[in-house]
Amino acid sequence: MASIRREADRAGPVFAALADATRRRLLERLSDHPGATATELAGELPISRQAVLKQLLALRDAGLVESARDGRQVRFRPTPAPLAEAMAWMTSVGAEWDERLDALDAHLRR
Amino acid sequence: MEIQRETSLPVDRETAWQAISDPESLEAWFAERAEVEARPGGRVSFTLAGGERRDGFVEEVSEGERLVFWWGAAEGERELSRVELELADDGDGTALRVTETLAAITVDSVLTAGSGGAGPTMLAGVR
Repeated sequence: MASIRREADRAGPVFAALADATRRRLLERLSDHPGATATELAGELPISRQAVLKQLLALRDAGLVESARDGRQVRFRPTPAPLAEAMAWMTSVGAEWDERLDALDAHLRR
Repeated sequence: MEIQRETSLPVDRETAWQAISDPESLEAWFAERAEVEARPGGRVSFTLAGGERRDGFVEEVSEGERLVFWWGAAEGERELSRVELELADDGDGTALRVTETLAAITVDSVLTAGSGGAGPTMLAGVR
């Protein structure tokens, strides 16, 4: 009864930031070690401190990570709220449209 | 942040256009109550099942092809999102693509900025 339907959802900067494997690994490491510096994180991964810092700043731009000065160092920690909010928005709005399109289908087939 | 759905409607383009743009038709599937001023800058107001009301304005009306409007909850957090409804021929039927994009601005800041026509103009540069 329901017609074929396609979905193509984009969660903008939040999910774009997570589309990169290195950034995902960094976020994972930060979840285990919140407050780590770029140097500490680079020590655990096969990429330079420079590259780690660049990725951390991209995560910060997407609102997934926040930074704080600690003397002369900068420490990073994850902020999961944007991710959860993004998923919540997409889930509820997606569900709303699925219901509406079911109703539209039923209305037009009457 | 964006969601998109595509579906195939078992009716011709004209019927599909009416279904997505005419308030009476909209009340059959989209909302309990629908008010649509189908012109750029026109107001929209929907009361959804459950009583939630959403207000907003029309950005674009291309008869038979595309209807774009912005809306947000009439009360509480008034974050706007943009809804784009696009039609295209699909064999004997009509393809409908719906795209809803969350905007990082609020309803109040736009609707209080002068007449109804100010909305879409102000938002021309907004992602």
